[in-house]
Amino acid sequence: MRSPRWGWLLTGPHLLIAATFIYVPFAAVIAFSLTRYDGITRPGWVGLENYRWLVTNDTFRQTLWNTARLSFVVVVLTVVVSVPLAAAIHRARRLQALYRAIFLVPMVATPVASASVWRWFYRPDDGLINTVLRPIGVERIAWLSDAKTAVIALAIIQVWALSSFFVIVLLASLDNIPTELYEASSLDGAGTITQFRYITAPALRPMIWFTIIQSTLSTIQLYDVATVLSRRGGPGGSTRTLTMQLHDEAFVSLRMGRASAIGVAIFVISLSVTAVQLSIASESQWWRRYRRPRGRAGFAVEPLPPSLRISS
Amino acid sequence: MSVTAEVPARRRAARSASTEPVVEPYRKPPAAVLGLPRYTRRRLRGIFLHVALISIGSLYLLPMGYMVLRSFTPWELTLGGVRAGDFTLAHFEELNRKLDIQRLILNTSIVTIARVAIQVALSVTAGFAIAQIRFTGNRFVLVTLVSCLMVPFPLMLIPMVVMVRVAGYYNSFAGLIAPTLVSGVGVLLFVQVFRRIPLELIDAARVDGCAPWRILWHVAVPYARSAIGAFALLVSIYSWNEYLWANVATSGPRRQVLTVGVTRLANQYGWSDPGVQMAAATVATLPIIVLAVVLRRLTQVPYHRLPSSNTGRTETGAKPGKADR
Repeated sequence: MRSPRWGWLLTGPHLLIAATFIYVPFAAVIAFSLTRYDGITRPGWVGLENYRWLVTNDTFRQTLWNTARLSFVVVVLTVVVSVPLAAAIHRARRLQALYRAIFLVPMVATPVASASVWRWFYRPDDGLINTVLRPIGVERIAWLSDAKTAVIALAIIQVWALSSFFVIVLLASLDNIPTELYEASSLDGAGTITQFRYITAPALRPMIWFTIIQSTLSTIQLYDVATVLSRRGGPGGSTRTLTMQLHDEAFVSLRMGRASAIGVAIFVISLSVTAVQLSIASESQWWRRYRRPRGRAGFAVEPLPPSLRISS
Repeated sequence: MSVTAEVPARRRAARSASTEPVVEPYRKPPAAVLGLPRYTRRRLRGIFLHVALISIGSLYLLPMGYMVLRSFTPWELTLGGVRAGDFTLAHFEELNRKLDIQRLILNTSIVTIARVAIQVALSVTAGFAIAQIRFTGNRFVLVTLVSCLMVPFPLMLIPMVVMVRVAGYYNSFAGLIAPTLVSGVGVLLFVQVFRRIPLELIDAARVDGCAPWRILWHVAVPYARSAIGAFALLVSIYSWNEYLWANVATSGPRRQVLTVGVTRLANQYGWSDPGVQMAAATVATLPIIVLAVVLRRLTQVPYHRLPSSNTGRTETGAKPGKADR
């Protein structure tokens, strides 16, 4: 229907709020990043000084490295853990509702609360993890006070939360695969692995990319879990994240200009990582050998090899 | 059946196309492997699957289970030493003395409910207008709202604090709620959903003389009930768990929310009073977990309706692929 009046009336409030709370702050943060500003006195123009600081500063470089390492480890582990897990849950006929409920819990658990529980697991002497590892002959690990293990500790929490999110999301798209495909292919002699390769994996591909992007972004912008584990970024700054450094520059050191520049860096990094991932997801298809016809259920189904094709 | 009879011809076809793998034709599975009949093997495989899933599942459940268990039992006991009779509320009483916990719960609930109501209303109306009403600027509105998705929240932190302070809303509900209301995901979701409303429904309503807002209320909203529920659940989870903004926009207990309270407690007491910290974590996270588990059917709705990463391969707005042309 055509109705400019209602069109603008219904979208107006959202537009107005978006302008006030996204577009104005966006312009403001870029302006702030070119100034020296302590939040109280008037901002003074310094040009690109803050960005120069970003490029030359070792602390920020370390934070960048932390973030890159953490997101890579977390995303890879999450995918590796959750795809087989989702496939297994989907296969299980009985107790499926129970499994779905179980994997919902880490996903919705409040990050700061779960981190404040995990913290106690990592205690070197009476923590649960070391208590379990001791009988197997693992030496006492000082999880949170060693720069290396602190990163692992953080990654474990992140993988725990994100992979359950992955499982739920993947299950939703597994539900969308028509079961006839499995029935027909098993009639034609396809085993579990062949079915996974030719039916499940192609159907999951778009959703896997969606979740990879989501989890990369949330790890790049990680703040709450890391700040509960150690407020100032852990031993030797090894778990300091970008957002944590932004927060501390802005509200502890009161250097809002510098913090704004970090914010712009977070924006640029998030955007470019997403762009790279999207381009990998859409263009290069070096791993697939077949042209992709459109499947009947709205997602692409890779053609089965001719010997498995369902002939009418 | 005729399946086996066709096999030789198919095999030849498969060999001639050299790029495609030759898949073994159907062979009847052997009746017994390692002396086990097929039925038993299938049973064993099922049992193995469940054993694996239950052990991995309990691993995933461990932190939250531990938290709940330890908040109701005296900390002095070791985990193995907890017995059924050890139930105690002492940690919660202690927590109540240390934090104004009722106030925190109230604040969090108010903020969450307000965010859910406003975000759902904003996204549903905007999504409906974009999907169903033709007006100049339709496309512009869609792009403007959806591109808010790309802006990470930490980027907005500093200007928002400045704005909220200048406007005099620091440490108030308005200051807590207002900056988090824009939802690119919501707009995207509801545009997708409302584009699929059958045209006949809309036309029938228009013939009956419905104004657009009545079509929205009587046709579109009932049509999108499950999507609205799913989105509301998503927003409430996000809102309940939100920490960064709540920490920056408030000070003191008057407008504090649970996440901030828990973190303050953890920072303040460090490695002392573990029982109280467990109790605080339980209060902070158990309500939202219970809500999500009760409403878990809703979590299955929105994801596959969202346009998947790149290919636009959604149930509706599918871009025509090369193979279609």
